[in-house]
Amino acid sequence: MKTIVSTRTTIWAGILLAGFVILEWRLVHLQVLRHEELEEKAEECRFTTRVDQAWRGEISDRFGQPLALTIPTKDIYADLTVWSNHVDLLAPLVAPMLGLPPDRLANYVRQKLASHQGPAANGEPGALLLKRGVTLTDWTPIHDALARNAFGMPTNHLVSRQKTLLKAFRRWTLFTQNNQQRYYPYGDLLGTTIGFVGTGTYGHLLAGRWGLEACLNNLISGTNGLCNSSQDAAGNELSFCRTEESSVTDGAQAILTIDLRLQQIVERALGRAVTNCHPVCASCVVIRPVTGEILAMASLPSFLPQRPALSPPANWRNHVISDPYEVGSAFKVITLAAALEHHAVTLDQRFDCHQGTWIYLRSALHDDGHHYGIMTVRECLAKSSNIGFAQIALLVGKANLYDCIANFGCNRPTGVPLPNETSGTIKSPAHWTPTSITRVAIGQEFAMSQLQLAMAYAAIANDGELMQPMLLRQLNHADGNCWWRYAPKPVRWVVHPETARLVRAAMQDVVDYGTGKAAAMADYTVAAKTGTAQKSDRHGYLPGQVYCSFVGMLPASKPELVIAVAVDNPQGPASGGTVAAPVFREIAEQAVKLYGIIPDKIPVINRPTAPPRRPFNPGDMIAMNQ
Amino acid sequence: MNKKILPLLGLCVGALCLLGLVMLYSTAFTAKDQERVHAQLVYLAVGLVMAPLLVRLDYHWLQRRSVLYVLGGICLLLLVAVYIPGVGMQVNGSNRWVRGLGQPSELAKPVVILLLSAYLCRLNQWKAVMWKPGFLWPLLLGAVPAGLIFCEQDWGTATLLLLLTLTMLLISGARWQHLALIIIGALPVAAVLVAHNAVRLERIMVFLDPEAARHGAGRQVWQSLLAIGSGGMKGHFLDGSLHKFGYVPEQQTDFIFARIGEEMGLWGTSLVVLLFLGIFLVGLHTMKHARDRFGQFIAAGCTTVIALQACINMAVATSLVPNKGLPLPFMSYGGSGLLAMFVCAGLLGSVAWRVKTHEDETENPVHHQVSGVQLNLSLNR
Repeated sequence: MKTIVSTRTTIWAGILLAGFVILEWRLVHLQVLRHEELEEKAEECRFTTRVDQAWRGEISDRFGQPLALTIPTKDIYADLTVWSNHVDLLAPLVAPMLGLPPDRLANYVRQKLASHQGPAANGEPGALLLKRGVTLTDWTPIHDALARNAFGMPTNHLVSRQKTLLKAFRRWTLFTQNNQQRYYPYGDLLGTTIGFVGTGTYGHLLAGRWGLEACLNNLISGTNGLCNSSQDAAGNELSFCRTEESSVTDGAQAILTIDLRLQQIVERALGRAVTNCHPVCASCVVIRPVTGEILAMASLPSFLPQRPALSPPANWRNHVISDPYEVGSAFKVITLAAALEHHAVTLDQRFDCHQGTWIYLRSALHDDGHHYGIMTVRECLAKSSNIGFAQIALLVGKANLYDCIANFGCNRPTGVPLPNETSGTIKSPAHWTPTSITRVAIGQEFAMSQLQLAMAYAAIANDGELMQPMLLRQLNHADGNCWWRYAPKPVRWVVHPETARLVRAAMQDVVDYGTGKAAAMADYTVAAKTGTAQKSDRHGYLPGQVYCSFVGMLPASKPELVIAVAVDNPQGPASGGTVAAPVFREIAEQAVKLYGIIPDKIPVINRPTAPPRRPFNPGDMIAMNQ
Repeated sequence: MNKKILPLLGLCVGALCLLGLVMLYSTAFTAKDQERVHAQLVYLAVGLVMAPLLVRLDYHWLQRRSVLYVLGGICLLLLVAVYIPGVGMQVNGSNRWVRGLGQPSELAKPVVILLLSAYLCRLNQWKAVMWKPGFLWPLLLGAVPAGLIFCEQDWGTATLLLLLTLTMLLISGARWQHLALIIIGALPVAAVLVAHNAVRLERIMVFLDPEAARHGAGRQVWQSLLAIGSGGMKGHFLDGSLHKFGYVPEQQTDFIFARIGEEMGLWGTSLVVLLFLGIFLVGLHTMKHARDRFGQFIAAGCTTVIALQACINMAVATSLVPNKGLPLPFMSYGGSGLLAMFVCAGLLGSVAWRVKTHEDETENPVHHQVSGVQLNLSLNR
């Protein structure tokens, strides 16, 4: 008996001991062999992170008028754990609040729920985004309506399970996450310069996609605040476990050099020109030559930065900086400056313009149908004679001319903080054909942007010092304190001040009696140049299509404003003097009132001369009395 | 020499209780948890007073028929009483509680041990191998309470009781064929039962790969594995354990082993295993040197209950077996479970206190005769 008991006891003891041994082995396996793996996964379970969103900084004009603002919005989500099994009840209730068709909403929710069930399910179905960008004023009534809704349940005598369900319905049918949206209060004013935003990356809600929003993105985005920590099983943060914490920095406020009042004047004037002659596009830029500040920059057709998708992408282009074009006659000013700088000519030197047709090295050059004879350099500029300037250029020489062109910055981008700036297309002298020098002198065979041309003119206005165009005036921290004030940046001395003065004097003739008469102003001396360039494509010049431009500065003696207007392919007979010059005058007349520029043209007043004094004769008095 | 085994039992039980209390304290975050710690202290005090009293009680008193009938009757009554609406409480959809008294399924453990021991010790070796007296009646003796507990939806305790019954049958000398029959017969029944119950089926599937089901049904076991695994060698008691913040459900009752795993690491878990092994060895030793068959069976039963329940609970926490729902003896929070375990430990101690000494062996070499008459003789001693 005892023996059987002993054997069976041994078996029983052996089984249990084996159990203990297996258990111990399993513990060693888990706690030693798999320790790192399991600890890592446990930490993964507990890891939680919170991101504090930075507010995107404001873009405003030089006087603080806001051009781009960030407003808080809400994204509306549906909690699928509440919606599951109740889609038919909730969808018809919720759809009218959101403005969605009920059956489409129901199908969408059901589709999402179905993809979460089954053996491949990975966790609870979460939240479903229903609507983006809802303002607080729109969300509050929805929220209140949901909080009061009965959801088809009886109003009293609810069982506890029904009470829980009703509570869940009221709270979690729809819930929101905070989001940001960009608001542009001035519509399409300065649209092509400001650009627009899109969905952000790397944790930012918004990111600039075009224009200043894109170029200044790093400055005005700010830095998100981050908090890495651990959470308990209910999702509450365990604050003593914070591993990484950084506070949020809201984006900087960018203050531009743009003056919104002048911008409105410019866009109105340009708009009138567009309505009159229906061009492909029109653009204008106003620069303060002393500092290089861009006071206004308009490019039509424009678009609404609020809804960029409504306009074709062609409207998004900023024609001032992006489109290089053959400037034509407007370039003659640069040639003249080069000639005067290198003392190749004087202003009164006479040239024979060969009655409008001139053959040089077996290629003909025409004066646009005019038959000019012998003219001074001043007259060549005023009347815009191609032949005259071709001869002037020959005197300057290829190397000197190109040096001057390069000094004026015509072969590289100006460095303005906007995307898609072109550098222009001009070949180096090594690649010029023997006749190129004559064509380059009159602004053909190469292309440059309107901003490059305007900055070159601004150099002449600034007594020969080329400035870098300034679009940003100041950066403020989010709380308003100044962070950085930009200073005007001179690039280089291009010509001597004396040369610049002489060129300006010659340019005054253009407006006084030359091609730019339409821009003449009563009280101000204007120095300007017209340009009417034939447009070309790969195969040659396109007949009847011109690029009309007019660049002027006023007052001519000490210019305070440089205004460059360009109209691309206006319909009907057009030239720089007829289409662009009136726009210049309209802008200039209002701009001088805005800035209080003192008139420098002393008008010739016809003073009545005093009657000559006769010597006193007593006999006259007797004669008078008779 | 043999009585010196008792302090080891006391040491093991005391150490386990202390560890359990420390773990409960470590996870006490809310006022409700604090109340639990206080309640556990009270139950521990009661148990620690009761157990030595049981040790001093001569276990032969429990062999009397009157006592056995009373105990069995109370147990059956309570098991049925859980269904009476006023008396029984429904918690989480299952009727396991008697208002004010606790879980009768826990009480059933020592009672079934006593009943089985009393019956089996009277069998001689010829009766033991017979079908009806040696197998069927004792099986029913254990299966009826197990069945009632099974109806309460407490499959874990029911399985434990059945295993206990089978163990005691094994030790008593039942035929291998009968035992094999029940085991082989029970498996298809168990399979069918499990297949028809969605919760249990899920638990079985989950235990095979808890990581894949970690978001759904396998969450508890997976988090338990993470907690145990992240303990490493030394555990995180000193430098702050983080997985105790609600990640493992039932971490104060069924999964307190996961707590030990994280807080104390391999040292702690091995210690717990060692302590239960110690209890088991005490039981083994007691069984070997018990004064009579009744004592042997009591020792075997108590040891099996404590060691097997501990093994199963720890195996569940480490995902070696599907989730059973058994608490860890002496460590889990729960008054009735704690007291039942103390009763078992007390009974074991009572037997161990009265083991044969060397003098007894030399005095009565024919002491171990299998006979019911023997019983009366030992009562008179």
